[in-house]
Amino acid sequence: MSKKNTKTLLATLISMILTPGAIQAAEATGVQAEPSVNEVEIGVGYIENDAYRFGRYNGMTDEGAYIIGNIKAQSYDENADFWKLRGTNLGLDSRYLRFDAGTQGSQQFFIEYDKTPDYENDTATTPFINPGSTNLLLPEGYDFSSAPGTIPDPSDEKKLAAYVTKTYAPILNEELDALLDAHLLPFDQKTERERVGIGAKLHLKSRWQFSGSMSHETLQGTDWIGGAMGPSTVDNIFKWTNGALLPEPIDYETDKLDAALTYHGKETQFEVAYKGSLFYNNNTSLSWTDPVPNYDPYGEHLRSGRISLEPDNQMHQLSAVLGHMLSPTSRLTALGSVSMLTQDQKFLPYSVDETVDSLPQDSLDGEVFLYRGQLKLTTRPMRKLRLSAQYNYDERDNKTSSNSYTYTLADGVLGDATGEADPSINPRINDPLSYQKQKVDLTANYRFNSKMSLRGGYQYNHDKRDHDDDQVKTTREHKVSAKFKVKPVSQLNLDLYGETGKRKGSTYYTRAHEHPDLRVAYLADLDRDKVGASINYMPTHRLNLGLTAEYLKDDYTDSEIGLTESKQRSGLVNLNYQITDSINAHTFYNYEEFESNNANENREVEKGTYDRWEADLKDRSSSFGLGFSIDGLANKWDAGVDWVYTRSVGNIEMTGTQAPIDKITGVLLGDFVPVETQQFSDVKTDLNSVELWTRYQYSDSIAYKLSYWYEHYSTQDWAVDGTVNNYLPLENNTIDQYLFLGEDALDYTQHVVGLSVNVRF
Amino acid sequence: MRSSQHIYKYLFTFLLLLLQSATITAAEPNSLEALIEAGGKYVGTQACRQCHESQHSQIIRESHGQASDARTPFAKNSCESCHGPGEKHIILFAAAGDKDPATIESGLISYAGAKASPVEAQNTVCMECHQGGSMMQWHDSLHEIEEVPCTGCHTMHKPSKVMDRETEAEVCYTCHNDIRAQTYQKSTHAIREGKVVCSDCHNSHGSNGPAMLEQLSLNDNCYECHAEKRGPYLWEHYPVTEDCSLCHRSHGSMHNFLLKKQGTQLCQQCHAQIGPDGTGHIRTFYDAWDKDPKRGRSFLGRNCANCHKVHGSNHPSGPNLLR
Repeated sequence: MSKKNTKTLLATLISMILTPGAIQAAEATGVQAEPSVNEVEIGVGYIENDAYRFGRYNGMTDEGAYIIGNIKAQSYDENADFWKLRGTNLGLDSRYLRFDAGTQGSQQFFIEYDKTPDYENDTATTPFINPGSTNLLLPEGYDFSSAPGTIPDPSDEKKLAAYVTKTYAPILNEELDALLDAHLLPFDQKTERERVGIGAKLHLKSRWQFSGSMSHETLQGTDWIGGAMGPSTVDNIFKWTNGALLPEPIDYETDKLDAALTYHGKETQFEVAYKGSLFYNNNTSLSWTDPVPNYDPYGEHLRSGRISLEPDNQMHQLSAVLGHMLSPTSRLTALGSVSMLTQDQKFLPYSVDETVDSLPQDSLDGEVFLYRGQLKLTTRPMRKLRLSAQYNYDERDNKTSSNSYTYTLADGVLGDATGEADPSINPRINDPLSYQKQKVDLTANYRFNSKMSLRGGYQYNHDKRDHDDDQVKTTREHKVSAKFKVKPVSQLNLDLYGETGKRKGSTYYTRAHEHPDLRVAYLADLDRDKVGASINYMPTHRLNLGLTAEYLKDDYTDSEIGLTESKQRSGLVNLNYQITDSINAHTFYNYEEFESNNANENREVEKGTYDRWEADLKDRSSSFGLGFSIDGLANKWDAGVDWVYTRSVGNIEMTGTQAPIDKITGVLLGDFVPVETQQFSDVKTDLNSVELWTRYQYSDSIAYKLSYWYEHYSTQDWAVDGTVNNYLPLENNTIDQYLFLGEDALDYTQHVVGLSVNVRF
Repeated sequence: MRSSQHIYKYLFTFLLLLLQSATITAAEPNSLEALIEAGGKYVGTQACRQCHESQHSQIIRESHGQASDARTPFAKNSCESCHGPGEKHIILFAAAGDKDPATIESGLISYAGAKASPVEAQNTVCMECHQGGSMMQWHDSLHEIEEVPCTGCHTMHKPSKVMDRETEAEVCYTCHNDIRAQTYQKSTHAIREGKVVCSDCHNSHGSNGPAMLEQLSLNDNCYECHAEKRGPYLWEHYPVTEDCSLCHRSHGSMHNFLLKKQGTQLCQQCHAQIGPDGTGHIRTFYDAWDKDPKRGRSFLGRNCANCHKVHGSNHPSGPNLLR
């Protein structure tokens, strides 16, 4: 919005707000006995700073004025004919509008519009001149020099490597630095989601109802995607794969259709439903030219690459649910469901060099069936005892065919991961995932008296997975839980609970090229223990104090490499106090801590070293909130404040040991001794947000609202801090051959004020 | 094998007990019925309006107050459909004057205040009409077991905050302030902004899915907005296909993209590749004492996702999820 337009808008809206005479005239014609719930709010707000992150999901990204627009209205007549209208954030990119109408108990209709922005970051840069396109182009003149002088013969690898390192790479790096300095362009990582939906509900007979809805949703904008180009074929320190984070064009459409026929009997209820979801991606691939030079003095610099983007897919689901009261104290519910997932997007060729090989089939013709079943019985054989049993069945039957595909590492190099030039020697066979999961859940709850109860539960999970690359075919998990609730005095509730579980898998098979001691975390043998307590104290019906604490520990009993252990601690203090009928206060403090340990090792025979390292991760997050509101002060004023402060700190502590090994046989020659390790900086986020508002009831139908919102946000993240011209400067005037987006760690201070008039009608 | 047999024996016994009890019509003193019986005769709306005109004028603007809809309380005994017969209440009130008549003793079913009726009695009234459709799984749902009264979240006489997308979360945060705290973290869904609300994903009345989720599985829930991740892909990343929550949190995280941990470490929970010479592509990411820093690409930026499409690939040459 231009400054001139902003001023005009401000002047117009402020004059409207401050001269409510016309509205008052309308008010005089229709006085109501009770305050109406129908209200329209219109006003103007002002955002002090450009702060992209502040407006990530609400659209308030730019300095300047914006329109405040909200509406809430409904009406019923004596025949139960009704309409309802709800609109929020109508002046922003996060607007929502819904209109319902019909005759209650007979038929109802709705139409809905919703827009959700996701403005992720506006500090990213790229050398491509057309971010958002499916064919990313480098600017004119973006090229690199050929190798100077006499290039050593490729057969002399040592000499060639020295030539590249000392002579050619410095030239290329200098050129890259100059090119990026001249050509980096900013682009916004932003997407906008828009949805339009309609629906209806028809009451066919007294207990039958049909409901249906459909929606069309679009998601458009620019996001990011990692693009790997493939390594130079020179076997030296520059053999690493070139790559870049690329601006990814997003242009998705999703159509959804839901329909359900339901029966609401007094003792029996059931529902038969269909759900369909059809996803279309208007972009099938992303092509780009490598912005990072190829260090192979014999190779081409400006190599092309192409990535496949998310394929079109469909999901269709049929389900039936039954609920039946077997007796006044026993209920049975059952569910059966079949879903079909399909995907048949035409394949891209193996490589931009379309002569590589021919595809075994044009598209995947992927087809997956999901079968779900559920049976649940709850009963109270006696007043104090409640029993329940539940069985769940979940099967993924993947009908997608397997075939042999030629593997080329990336478009930049036609060969396999080991650098073989002939890709046909490295066929890969896709291995679709099927699984079958069963769960039995039994619980018993015994209420000793009105002050004490005990709940016990047992859960058994049996999962089978079926694909050739399985590390574990079957996992079985047993879990026992208990919860004791006691009310020592009428104002105090105390809950103590605990859970212990054990997951055990069948024989673990190590995948090719995987460390034999690794146990994939989600399949690994696991002992889990959880304990917790909560106290709720309510000395009066106006005051409520809650305390909750929980501790969870996962011990991966058979894992020496990978995730070995994780712990979670959390606590919450919560106080709500209704001081008087019109004055409320609340405060809370929440703490979360996640700890885990990853272990790994590296044996470099050529160097004669055997390294072991461990990473101890610790993430801590604290939030404090305080709120206060007062209604009807002097019968005219309402006011409130809401303050939240959150601080998160993540830390990785590295420890390592090293032992000498024989440079030929790899045999251990000595003990492991601690070695000095480099440490990473903390990852930190601070958020301080205060919202203040006051509302003045000018007349029965008119109120003014003044609001102020302060927010400070800062992050410290070594993953995005420290790049120069989008690359990581290395020692010896070399670079990493990878181009990042050069984003800044986010940091803003924002002030927003708003003035609006609320009109009841 | 032996322990499995024991387990099946216990399971069988439990189920037998369950089935047996399901066929028993327990002679349970129904507290709701007792309350209704204690209330005396139905007195009609006009009697209620003598003192409660304000509540009456509010409810007739809401769905429960529509007498033309045969399903509503106002098509039956109006106020007394939900509050029970008012005769005794009126008699007691007449005797006690302005002194607060004990509503429970008077037989009136009360939903708020210091003398609210037992939660079970309150909820039974609501379930008389609301045990179908999205409330079919209320029995034995977490909120039912924890004795959350329907009126703990819903208001009947005026627009209910929990039924308005803008204010719904406020109601949930009354008990779930830990979730509120998570929405202030670095990476979240648009929950604070009211663009994603609790009921978009959860059915607070119970569901057939885990964690009271609306859909039948966690992944189905995520695909409601992220259908592009549904596949099936030519090259699947199996844990992604099975369970989004293995890598992502849902309400808020201190790491980007709602990841549970810093990216590379998250991947290393399941990946420790080893090469023919004993070294490995993935194993070396964090040998931070190694002074060769060209490996920075593996943890800077988007770490592993700098090169890999971690949700799966449909490129015929993408088995390593590079394209």
